[in-house]
Amino acid sequence: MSAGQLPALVVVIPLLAGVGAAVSGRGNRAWLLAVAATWATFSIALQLAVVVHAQGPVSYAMGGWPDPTGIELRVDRLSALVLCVVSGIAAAVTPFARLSVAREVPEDRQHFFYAAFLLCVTGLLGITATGDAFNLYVLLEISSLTAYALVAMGKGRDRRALTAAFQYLVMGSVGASFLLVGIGYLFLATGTLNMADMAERIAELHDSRTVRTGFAFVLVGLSLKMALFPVHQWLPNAYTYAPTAVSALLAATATKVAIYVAIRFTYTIFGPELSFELPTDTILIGSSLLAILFGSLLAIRQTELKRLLAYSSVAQIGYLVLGFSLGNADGVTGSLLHLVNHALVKGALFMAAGAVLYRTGGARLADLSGLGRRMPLTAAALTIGGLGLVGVPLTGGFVSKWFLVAGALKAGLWPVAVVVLLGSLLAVIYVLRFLQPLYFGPADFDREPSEAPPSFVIPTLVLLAGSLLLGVSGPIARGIVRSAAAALTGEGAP
Amino acid sequence: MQVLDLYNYWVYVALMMVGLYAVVAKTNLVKKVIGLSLFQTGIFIFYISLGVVDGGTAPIDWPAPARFRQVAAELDVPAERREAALEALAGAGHGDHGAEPAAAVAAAREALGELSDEDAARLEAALERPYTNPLPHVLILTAIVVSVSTMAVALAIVVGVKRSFGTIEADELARIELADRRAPSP
Repeated sequence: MSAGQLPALVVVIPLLAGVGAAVSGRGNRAWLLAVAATWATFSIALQLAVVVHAQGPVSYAMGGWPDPTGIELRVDRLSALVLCVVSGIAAAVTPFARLSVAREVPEDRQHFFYAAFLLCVTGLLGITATGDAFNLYVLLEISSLTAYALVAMGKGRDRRALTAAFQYLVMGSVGASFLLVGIGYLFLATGTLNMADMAERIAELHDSRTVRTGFAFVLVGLSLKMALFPVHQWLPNAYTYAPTAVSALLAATATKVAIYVAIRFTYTIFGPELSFELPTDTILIGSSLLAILFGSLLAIRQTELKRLLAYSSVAQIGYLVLGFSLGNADGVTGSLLHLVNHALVKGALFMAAGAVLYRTGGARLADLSGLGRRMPLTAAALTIGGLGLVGVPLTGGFVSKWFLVAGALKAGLWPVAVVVLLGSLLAVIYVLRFLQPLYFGPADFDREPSEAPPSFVIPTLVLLAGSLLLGVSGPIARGIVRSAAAALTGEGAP
Repeated sequence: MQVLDLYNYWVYVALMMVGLYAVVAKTNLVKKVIGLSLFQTGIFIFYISLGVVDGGTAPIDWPAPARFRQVAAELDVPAERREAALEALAGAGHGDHGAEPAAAVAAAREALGELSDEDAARLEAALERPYTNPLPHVLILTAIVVSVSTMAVALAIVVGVKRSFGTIEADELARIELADRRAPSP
């Protein structure tokens, strides 16, 4: 199939599958459709990445209307990277979801669950593939609305999922509306919605208050969506009470895509000069440092595994935002590497938590006691994932934190480098908080030892293998990501 | 004064702030949803204001001769001169959408003979025919659909909250959840 069609396929396939899942009724049909769709989408994303690296950006005009008046789907290196990550996570979580969802969601709702799941994936992939600002808002809302519904479906297990979903909805909608206002100001100033066109026109408007206002609204809106401290309030509750498959998907993709959008707006549309003329870097760096510190400190205090992982996510999002707000290629490289690494590791950790939940009925740290012997593979997954969060050498976390520190030093901000390393130390503490009961807690030998089913273990280990691959194949990963980062910041390849 | 002329922007800011206040300060979940709706409505007004063009009409394609004839009739231009001008317009061919070619406009003006500046300006405006930008309206239709969907999901969640917790007041919910947390979940 022609390469020009790939960007559209990546969005259309999960969309149609979502509709198909909604009408497929009881039984496994919805799940099978979801697996087929996510795997197909992942293979298309990989193909697209290969094409983009060989030929440069791929563009698709929706409906045949040429840009800049029509809606354009435009995939460049950064988009291709994020597309692979999102579709890969979806492809891993969907097989995991079969037993997990069967346990946590009522049977007559399961096909709607998969429909919402696929539509969420559609939205996320669409955000990454699109080259039109308003299309981005619409797809963001598609992914968000389905996410709110998916979180609410956790009410079978814990009714607090409903209030968590409501809080997520309110904060997420306010964020998306701010983004809409920002896009409105940009449209007012430039007269176009196409991102590439907008970038050109903004470059010509030197000192425009409209553009600056638009930028401010866009950044605030995106901060709400990516749960940047201090507007991260929705994240802990949403991740804790949602069905585990939903936690795994959202933790690994939703905030990452929001960060991708922030990078896109900061570097491609506004350009590094304009973005950092305003005190953007100060505000973002300040917020991200607070996120790292508070997220890690709060994670240490948690007694429930999913909530601990959620606060850890708040801290990791701090790292991601820190990377791109430093303004140099090293920082952006660190941010992108960490985006990939964190998506893989968090997805795997939430799936491992789901395995624990499945076998023991609870995911509190007390429930983890002695699982090192009873569920060795899951415990291994939690260990490797934990080490990945800390950033031990040989894991992907090390490579990404290396670049973050390098970027901070290059920007002349050594206190930032200190905080990054301090965050890693705090991560050691909260990782030990859940590793300690695993291996050193008393095992309950009254209950039969039972590892989680393969559909739980295999996707988890696959994702972790990916993260380790990232850690050991440093040069390859670095090369790919660095070229994307260099293209964004306008600095030459190293 | 220009600040007062821009009253539609003031309205948009006011609606947004009222809505945001309701979202944050009200404890009843349905009132929060209403606040969210107000907030988004303010944004719609902002977008519609973006597209307004001074003196613009609806963006409907309206053939030049018809509108020219109407404006000329209003200005009491004698019939023969009107028809001569129209022929000049037609003879030069149909111009770009929304604007007539300059040559046709010039020929039409000549055929009309003596006109006051004001009348001439009105006739030319009829030929140039600025129209309000329809794109923001299309964007708003999409945003309204998104807003309606958000309201639907929000209210569905509120119904679920009412069923599970028995209340939709945020402070009571917080108290119940605290009790939930103290008692370990089954």
